Amino acid sequence: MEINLSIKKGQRIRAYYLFFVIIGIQIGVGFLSAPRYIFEKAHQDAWVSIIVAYLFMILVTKVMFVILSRYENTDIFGIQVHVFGKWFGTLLGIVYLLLFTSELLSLLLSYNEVVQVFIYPTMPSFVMPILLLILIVYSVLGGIRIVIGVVFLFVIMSPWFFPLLYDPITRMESAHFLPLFEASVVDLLKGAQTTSYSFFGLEILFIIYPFIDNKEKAKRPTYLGLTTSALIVLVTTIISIGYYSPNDFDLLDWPVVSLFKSVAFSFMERFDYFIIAEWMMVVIPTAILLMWAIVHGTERIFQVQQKVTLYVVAAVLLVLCTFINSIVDIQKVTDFVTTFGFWIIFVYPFVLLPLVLLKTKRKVSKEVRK
Amino acid sequence: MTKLFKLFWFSFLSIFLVSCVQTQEIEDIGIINAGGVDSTKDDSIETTLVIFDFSSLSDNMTQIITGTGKTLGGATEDAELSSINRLVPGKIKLTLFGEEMAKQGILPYLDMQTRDARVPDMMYLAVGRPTAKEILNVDESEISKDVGQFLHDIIENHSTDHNVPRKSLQDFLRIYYDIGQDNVLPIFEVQEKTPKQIGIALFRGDQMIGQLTNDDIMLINLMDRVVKDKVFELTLPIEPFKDFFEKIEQPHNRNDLDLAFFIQKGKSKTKLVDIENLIFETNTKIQFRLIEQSASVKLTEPKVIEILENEIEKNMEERFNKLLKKLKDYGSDPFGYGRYYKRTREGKDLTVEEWREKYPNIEVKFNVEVELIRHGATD
Amino acid sequence: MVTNIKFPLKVEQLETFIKSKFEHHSEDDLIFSVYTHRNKKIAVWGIKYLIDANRLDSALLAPLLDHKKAWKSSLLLNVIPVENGVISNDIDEMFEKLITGSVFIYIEGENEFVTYPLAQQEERSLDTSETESVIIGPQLSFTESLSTNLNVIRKILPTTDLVIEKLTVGKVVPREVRIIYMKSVANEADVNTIRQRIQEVDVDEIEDSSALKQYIEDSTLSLFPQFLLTELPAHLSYTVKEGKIGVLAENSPNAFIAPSTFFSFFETTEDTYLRWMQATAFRLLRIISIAIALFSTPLYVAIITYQYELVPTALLVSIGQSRSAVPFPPIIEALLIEMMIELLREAGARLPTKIGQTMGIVGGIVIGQAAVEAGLASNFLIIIVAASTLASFTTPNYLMGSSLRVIRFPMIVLAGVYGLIGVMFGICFLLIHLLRVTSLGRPYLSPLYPLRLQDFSQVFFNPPPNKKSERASMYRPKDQERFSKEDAMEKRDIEE
Repeated sequence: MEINLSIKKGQRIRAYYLFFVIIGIQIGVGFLSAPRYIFEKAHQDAWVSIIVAYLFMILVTKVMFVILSRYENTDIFGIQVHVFGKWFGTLLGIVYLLLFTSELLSLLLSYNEVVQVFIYPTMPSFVMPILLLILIVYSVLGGIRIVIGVVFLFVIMSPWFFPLLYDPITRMESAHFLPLFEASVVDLLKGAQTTSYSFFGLEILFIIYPFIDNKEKAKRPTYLGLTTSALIVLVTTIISIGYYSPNDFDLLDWPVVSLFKSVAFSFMERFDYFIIAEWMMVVIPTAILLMWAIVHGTERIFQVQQKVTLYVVAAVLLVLCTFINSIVDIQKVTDFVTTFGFWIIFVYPFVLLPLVLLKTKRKVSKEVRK
Repeated sequence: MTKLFKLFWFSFLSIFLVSCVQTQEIEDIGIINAGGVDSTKDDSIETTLVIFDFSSLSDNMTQIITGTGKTLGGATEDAELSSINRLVPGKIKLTLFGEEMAKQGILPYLDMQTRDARVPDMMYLAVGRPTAKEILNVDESEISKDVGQFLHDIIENHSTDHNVPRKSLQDFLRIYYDIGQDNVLPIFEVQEKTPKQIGIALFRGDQMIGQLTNDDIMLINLMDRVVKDKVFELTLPIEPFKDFFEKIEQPHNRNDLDLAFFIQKGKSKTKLVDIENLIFETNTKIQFRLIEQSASVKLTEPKVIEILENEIEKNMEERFNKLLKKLKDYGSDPFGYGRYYKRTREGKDLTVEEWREKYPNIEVKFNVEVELIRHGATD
Repeated sequence: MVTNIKFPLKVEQLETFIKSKFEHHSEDDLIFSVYTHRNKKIAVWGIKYLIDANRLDSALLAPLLDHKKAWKSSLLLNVIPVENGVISNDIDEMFEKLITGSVFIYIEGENEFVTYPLAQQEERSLDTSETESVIIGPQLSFTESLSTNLNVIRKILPTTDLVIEKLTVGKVVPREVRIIYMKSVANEADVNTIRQRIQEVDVDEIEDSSALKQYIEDSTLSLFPQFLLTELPAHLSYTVKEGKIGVLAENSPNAFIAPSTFFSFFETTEDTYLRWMQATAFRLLRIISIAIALFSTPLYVAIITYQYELVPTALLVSIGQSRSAVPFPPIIEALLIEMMIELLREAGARLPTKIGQTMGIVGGIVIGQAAVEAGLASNFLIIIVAASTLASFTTPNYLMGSSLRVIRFPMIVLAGVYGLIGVMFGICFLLIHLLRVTSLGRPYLSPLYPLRLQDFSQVFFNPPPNKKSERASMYRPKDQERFSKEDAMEKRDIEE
């Protein structure tokens, strides 16, 4: 496997699309239930947890950029092979592929669950995955440019519902935030760890980096994207804390959806239904980026044709979605992804950093000697 | 290209083969518009449902059906037997609890409704006297509307002028679960063949424990929101105004001065002054317009206005104190003083029981400050 | 039968040869006259109905027979006052030219014959446009004659910068095709692509420029037209000025324009003639109409079938009342009415205008009134279907309008099967599809993706003239500047 990638001009993307990629992959189904889980850990100080998680996330991203900048033009698969050698590097590459696959699986399962609970209780559980997978396969077949295009378009088309939150904002109760700073540091950190689930997807930077045309401008859109998605989570969490009673909060599985229940206009009511249907547009960018990463990664590691991986992974996911349909199983998958992802996404880069620095330094000095 | 076609056909066929989503076409369902819950003598529940039935060709789209059962779900199931169509809860606009039921506690029924994601949050709650059934069975030709919508509109429209407490399912549950505040709901009774709000039901937890008059709701509203555009009456002693009547209107043999005001803007701020002794201070500021007086007082004189304002303040404070005493006797806290206590560091672990114990011992200093800003077109 | 002949030869030999080739054709159609001039036999032949008889007599035969000296083939070209005479001895070519309306002169004993194109141009006169009507501005539309069309284009754009390239397509029936572009503006790569694509079309014949368009479009499976078809010379010249490439074919009253983006189908030349504010409002209206045309009926079906909760109670009651008499599920009801509207449209398009109008009235009454009274459809649906049909007709381009109308049907089915989720699936699928489509290799959804904010004002709005100094960058024109921003609109009015 070549460590450095050469990407054709027609496949490269401008750096500012990273902004949309980051938002697109971070905001997914997890966001709908995020406020509740953060609240469970940190209570009325949940918003502090989000800020902590955000700062940590910025740090991780900085580390990722440092690692990537040590190489000419490569992704995590190339780096790992370079650092750990062919066998172990490939193995770690497979770990990444597994992470993406399980994230995608958990995404499909949770969206299906939301739809079943709110809209179609009797719908067989393979219908939603089929619909989503058709869209995913169709866009990934178009290649990286189409994937980025779908992400970009869907991200700019979905935020129309934010103004609707004015209604729950007017019903907020300030007492729910008081007294301030009550949660212990441990609780806050636990909350921050829970928050990290909604910030998954950051690792896409490791894969997509070689495709960026003007790399010197890659940092700003990335940080802006991270800030925006953190702000979205922060605002909805604050609104949820104010809107729901603390004792009532943990009864709700998807507090963000329920926020829209009371929004009504003279021609339309019950925006929660709209939000769930519309959420398809929010889920698709996440899903296709993950799918693209799987397909691209498999091609990198095993030189398998992209189409083959695409169809095989889609079929496997469909089968898995059909058989995993009890809430307990879905929760197990989500928990697995949460822990697994946390270590890979937020901890592993810190392990990788010194190794990369060491390895690349040696290489540089060797070149100097020559 | 042939591959693409294959994929296309495969996906389309599979979509149609598995399309077994349950439909709910509006003419094949009975849409519940309002529901009533009553308790019967043998400890079961009787539910009265106002439903829209679009499958009939008659002009009257609403239908009233009843059912009994041990749980609300069972009662609804039972009621369904007398409807042609399956009943769906997606548009319940109002749930009326019979007085007996309300006294026993309504949480179990609310809980069932929040569990069902299809039930709207904007469903209003109210109490029916003597039973919900009687109110919902009112003759619809008298009110020229279906009764569920009629009650819903009463609550919706009158809540803006602060005559009726508007409590949706979500509001009620939030206040219920928030420690340190209690709910109030409107009570309806059929008077002269139409339902009318006759008072305010006072809740402690999820149980109705007493009744307040319609006027009291204004004081409760003043505590937790900005009150605007509300008309209210006051009766002041005539004594302090004796010297300031217009000359023509001599002499006055009545003892009272009846006044009607229009509140431009009124709001309150509450502080916990002393945590140990639970002393609160509530400062209320009201700007009002005088719209009616039973005898003309010379409003051109600054002194008169001052006296008037003072008298109103005294009167209001008295009313607040009386209401608070009544509430303390009931052990219910719709003002939400517990919330102010729970905000503090000492009170953060407050439980409902603790507050119930503490509540009768709190002391509140009411300071009302009123300002007359207009007095109509005449002096 | 004579299979082949060699010059020089006797006129009689030539006559038998040509007539033998015309065995199955009517003999009357072939004119083969033999004149004797200065003791030399001269044969003149051609096909009767293809030749302009007046010019044959006055411009060709008269000078031919009045000549004082003996003829030579080479002399003919200098003396006879008919343009484009050619000397040739290729017999095969002779037959090809014969059927396109040429006249041939053979002087006995010579080694070659002379050809004059004397075809009579049968064509309809220039007319106003039928399918793309405009209210103000040039009304002229193309005709079937290529030379007339080129004439019109040249009149609109009298500049040497305008290049009109000639290509021929078709093995059995060759047809002339013209590529039109501005040399200083059009992107060279685009010109090369389209030239190459046209040259590589290897078919027996193309029926029309719209057929040629289908042969060379990027994706034949796509739901949307990728090249814009127009019959307005004004539209063609307007887009050619923007740096796009127009293609005209012989015998076709349509031109197509490449590359075209999705949003360019919602532009009309009229936008330029109107004042910019009104034009902007109308263009936005057309873009909003896309959504109304595609999604209003599916949303009705989805909401009535599955998500009744979305409708406020008061509205729900009135919809319920009008639905109560209808025995079908909403999806059948909607498909039925949509089908009726499509039948009306199709019948109206096939029938002569006068009958078409009558039918419109009858159809309107049948669908509007009787369907509701008979309990086949609800009032609400009629209003919604009418709105969506109207919206689909606001699209200025016929091909795009019909695409939108067809896409509605699968959308209705999706809505009927999956409700709101189905509609959302349809929207996502359409968007992804639009992203995947290209026109001449350029993204179809430009300037939305790839994002070109500087083109937004020209695509979604119609900015005031002084803001239009730049051409849209998404077509990558060679010369981006339309005019100088500073000097173009300087006003030297009299100051009072």
